[in-house]
Amino acid sequence: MINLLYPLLTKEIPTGLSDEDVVQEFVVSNNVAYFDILYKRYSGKVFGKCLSILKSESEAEDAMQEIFMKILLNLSKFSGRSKFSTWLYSITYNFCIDSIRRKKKDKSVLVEDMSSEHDTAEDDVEDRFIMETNVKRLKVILEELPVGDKAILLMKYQDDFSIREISGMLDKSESAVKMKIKRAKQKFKKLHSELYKNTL
Amino acid sequence: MRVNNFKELEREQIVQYEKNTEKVHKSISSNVGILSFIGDIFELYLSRIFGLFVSATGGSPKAPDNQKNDGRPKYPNTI
Repeated sequence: MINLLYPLLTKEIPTGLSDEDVVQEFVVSNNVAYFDILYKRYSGKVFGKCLSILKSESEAEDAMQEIFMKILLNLSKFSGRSKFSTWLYSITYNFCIDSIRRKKKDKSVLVEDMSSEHDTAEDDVEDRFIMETNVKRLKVILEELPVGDKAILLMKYQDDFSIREISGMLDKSESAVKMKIKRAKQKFKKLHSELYKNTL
Repeated sequence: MRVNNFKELEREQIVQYEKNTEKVHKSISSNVGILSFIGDIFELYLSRIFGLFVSATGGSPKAPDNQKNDGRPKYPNTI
């Protein structure tokens, strides 16, 4: 009997569905296999972001577990107004930044004063310079950068988020986000020249 | 094509930390299993729990009998 029922119980999941379609199917069927598809697609990327921000593998594992449980329990609330990946990364960044805030009891992560001396002192750093920094150095520099700057550079260069998307995720104005990116790039360049001054 | 080493870094991390993501997946699956088990139990016994609650507060779990026969026929125009 179970042999007859087995094909029905393990109904084949079509491959090649878009993320948004997978979410829809999950909401309709409540089949965890659809969640597994999303997990397979994004777990590596989410883990990388958690690790970059939290700097510890065990903390990144805990964070990722909580993030995906949150996603699983709230998939029905996903409205589809943004891409699924934008929604997922927004939860990831906010979760990691919040957990650092809780740890440091410091509310200034990403809420820094916008009128810094950097704003007018230096020219714009080219995107090319940031993106072409070799991977080894990139790792080291990201490790050294403050959390807020690191997160915003990852959003811009790794996830290709627009200024509008970042401003929505961080609940900040677009001009504040632009300023934040500019300052993060300046810090990146400064760190680069400090750490690798002989090889510039 | 434009070089973007942030993407390269992401690719490296995905390969390097595959074991960590598998470990977390197992943990999430067991959590989901526990949650669905609790959900099934709750669904199965919800009506009984509700009945027990009604009894405990002094009510009767039976539905009120609205069709008491007070001598009149059940339907009008019947003999």
